[in-house]
Amino acid sequence: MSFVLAWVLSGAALVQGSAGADARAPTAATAPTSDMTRAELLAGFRAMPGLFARYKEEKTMALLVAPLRSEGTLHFVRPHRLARHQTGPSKASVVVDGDTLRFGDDHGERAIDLAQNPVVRLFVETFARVLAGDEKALEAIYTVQFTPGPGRTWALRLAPKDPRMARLVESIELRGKETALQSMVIAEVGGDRTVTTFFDVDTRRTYSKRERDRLFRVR
Amino acid sequence: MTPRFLLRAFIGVVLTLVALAAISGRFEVTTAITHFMASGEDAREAELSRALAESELSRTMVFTLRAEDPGVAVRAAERMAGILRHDPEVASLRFEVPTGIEEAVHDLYFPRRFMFVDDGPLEGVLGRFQRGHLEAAARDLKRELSLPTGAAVKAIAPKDPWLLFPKRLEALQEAQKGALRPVEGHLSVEDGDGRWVVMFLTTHHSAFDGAAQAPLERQIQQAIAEVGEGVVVERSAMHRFAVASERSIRADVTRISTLSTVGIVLLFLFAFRSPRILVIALLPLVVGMAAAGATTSLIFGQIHGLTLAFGATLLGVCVDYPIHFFAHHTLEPAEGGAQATARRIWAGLAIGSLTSAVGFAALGFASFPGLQEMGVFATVGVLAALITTRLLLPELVAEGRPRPLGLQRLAGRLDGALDAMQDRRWALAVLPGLALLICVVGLGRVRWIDDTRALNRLEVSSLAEDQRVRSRVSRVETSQVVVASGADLEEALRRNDGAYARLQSLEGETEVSVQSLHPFLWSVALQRRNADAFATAPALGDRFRAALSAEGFAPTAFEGLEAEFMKPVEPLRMEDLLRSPLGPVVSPFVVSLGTGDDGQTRTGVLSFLRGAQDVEAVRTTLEDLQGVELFDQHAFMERVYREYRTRTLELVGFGLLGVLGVIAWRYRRPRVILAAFVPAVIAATTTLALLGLAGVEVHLLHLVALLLVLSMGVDYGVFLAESSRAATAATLVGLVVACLSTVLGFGLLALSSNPAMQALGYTTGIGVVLSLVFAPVALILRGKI
Repeated sequence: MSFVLAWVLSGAALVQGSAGADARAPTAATAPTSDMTRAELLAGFRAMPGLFARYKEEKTMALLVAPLRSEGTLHFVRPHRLARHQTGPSKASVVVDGDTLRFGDDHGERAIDLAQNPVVRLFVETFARVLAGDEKALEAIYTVQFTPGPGRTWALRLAPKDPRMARLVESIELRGKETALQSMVIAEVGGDRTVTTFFDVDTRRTYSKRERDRLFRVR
Repeated sequence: MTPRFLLRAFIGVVLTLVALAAISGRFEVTTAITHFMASGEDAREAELSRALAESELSRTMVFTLRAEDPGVAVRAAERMAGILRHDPEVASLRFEVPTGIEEAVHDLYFPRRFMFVDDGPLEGVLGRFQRGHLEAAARDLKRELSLPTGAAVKAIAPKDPWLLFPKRLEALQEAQKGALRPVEGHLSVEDGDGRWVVMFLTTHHSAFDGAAQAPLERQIQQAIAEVGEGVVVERSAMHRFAVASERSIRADVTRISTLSTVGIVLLFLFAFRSPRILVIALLPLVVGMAAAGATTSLIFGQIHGLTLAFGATLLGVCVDYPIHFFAHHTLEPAEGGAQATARRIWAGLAIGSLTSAVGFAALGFASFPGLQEMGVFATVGVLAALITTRLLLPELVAEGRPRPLGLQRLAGRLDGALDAMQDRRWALAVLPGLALLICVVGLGRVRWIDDTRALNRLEVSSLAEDQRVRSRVSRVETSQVVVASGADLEEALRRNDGAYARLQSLEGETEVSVQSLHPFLWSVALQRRNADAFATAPALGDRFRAALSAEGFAPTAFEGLEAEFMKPVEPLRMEDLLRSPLGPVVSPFVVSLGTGDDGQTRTGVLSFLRGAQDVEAVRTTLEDLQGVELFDQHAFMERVYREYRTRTLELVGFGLLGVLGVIAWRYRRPRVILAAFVPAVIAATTTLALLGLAGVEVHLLHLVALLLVLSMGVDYGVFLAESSRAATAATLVGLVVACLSTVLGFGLLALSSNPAMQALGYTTGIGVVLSLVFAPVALILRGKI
């Protein structure tokens, strides 16, 4: 049993957008007034050089009387470097770089070899594929349902096809406006939910080498 | 009794011995190193050494394949596997990640998570049940839920709030320290050159069984040739060295024996003008071998390969007997024909062979069965060869043949040389003086080496490739092993539990890396102790729920805790692991250690060490643990060979005293005694000193060769001491022919590429030539010139 399947949750959490996002998508200035289409959304993701966002997360689980709350920052650099630094209530970091998932807090640091955990890799790569606008890859892993909303908003619902993934996660639902992610809800089998909201989203963010060295490591 | 009757009786005895040995099925050749062990402790270590040499680890080859496109390497591995998988010598072949390993690990360890809670003292387990510790565990659980691993933690937390199962998984992962990782269903490693596909191939027979491995080696070469261009294949395997060594020795033996045979045939044709004599000359050796082999087998129940090899070498001394006889029969035949000639030289032959027999018999007093065997083998062989020479050869040689011209000329020249020596007796003193000088300078420089690796020469490129693959795949080293032994596996595991804790502390302080069975399996006693602690702790479920509740958990989620503590689960046993996909990982850690001093079979649990520079520190760490010891394979083999060598040297010394005794009994006069004895000792000692001066590291094979030189040298001295002045030229001719035949028969082994055969060759070659050169010293001492 690979307990690192938990990346299902936090990895997917990286793709959440903020309900109050400061949407500075490249197409924002010339955005058409018609409904957002799936093709437009994916093309917009493909044009993003990187991503920065602040997040707030609320995990509701049957084990706990009250939800677990946390907040922090999210960073993404193409092709698949991800970092999530939790700033409160305690400090913790999660970094995905190549084949390795690293995470740590005040108690220490751990690493997971994604090559040895193909299911976890699928989830980790989900985020990269969403941001890459890789429709074909997404369709291979998930049943994808795109729903346009008013004012160029949208919802993207991903339901795992792989039975090993489906045993843990019922669905991942992303919401946003233009290319700015606003929220993501992970509905787990058994009823637990993780709701993450993103704000201060910068979809044009680039990172200097110094920033990359500082941000894409467990702190 | 007529000679013919005695001959028939003798042949009857030899044939009876051979028949008895054959009928009793005792003519069995063994290679067990235990034959060369003195004490019980040594025998136990020998059994362990054997177990390691024949273990699955030693029988496993590792192949690594790389190509620019990793997919090409995978397909090449599949093609190789397709070719090799069905070879009858292949026991197993793995390069795909075993399926179901995660489920198997869960099924093995999750139900037993409480049994694997703590391998330290019981207080450590009970400490976890105290209020403060329970509160800390609840806090840890909550923290874990917020980490990326939270989903899995959440799934098991109601039944495992201490998260014992994930901790066991981490321990198992830590135990597999190697760089090996599954990639897309295949085992692979990465290094500076890129990604390599890794394939493990285990053979049925020992890696050192060259005969069994040779056909597979050919198959492997074919498979490597078929992987296609652009694929680099490298491997680590002891097998290839065994096969290469055997192939090289066989090629050398064929080449050298052809050269040797041609040389000896030409020598005999030149000397005696008769190929028939060559065949007849071999009879004493053949009969000697048959009688020696049969007698040794009947006495000891079997015969060791080393006894056969070294014993046969020592019997080389017997070729001197027929040559001595033929030289006299050809040049100075007695009036009564061959039988009369044989009678005339009988005293010399008998004393010569008796001295050899006494020298070799001293080996029989060794405490090692192997040396005892060799003593019996060589003694019986020498005596049987002597009797064959005396009884059979005169019957087979033709009477009245013309004397070969070459031999006559040689005899004439040697006779002239003897006359010349008479005028310059002082000149003969130069030789022993020179020898003395060489001995004074050279003996101090002799360096003995007991490293068995000196007996083999391994191809440098293969060794480097082997090393590259080992460092790439991080294979287990079997040269330094900690053994926890017991009357049964459970006792051995109990001791291994203790040994592991000590080794772990060592691992933290030094460069030592330990690979142990312990992360996978604890003793049943330890597992039961832990399970009982959970089952009997008062109100543990209630107290833990209270701590969890205080941390914000819903107590109802943990209502089944008591049931988990009380759940009847059998402790994990080795059989469970062997039946699981973890079987190949754990099986090399357990070996049978044979029978102990108490007659009971013993089992060993092994921990493999790497990078242990300070062996004594490891030993000190373990010294107070009963049934736990460090076994250093190289040091052990070195010690065995050193003991064997020093004991052989001592016995050779005693043997020489015996030889001196026989000669003293025969000749009684000091000058004659020295004449027969001293040249051989000078020749052997000077040979050893020359090896020292040449910087040669001297080992067991040199010693065996020196033993042969001593035997032949004493024969030379005795033959000369026994000769009348009239027959001295014939004796000297015999010695020249005997010396040349030895150089051709043994000395040419120096041309071999195998260090062991080389050593035997050049030591014997130099030694017998020196024996011949120093033979005139006997004449001075004897006062014959």
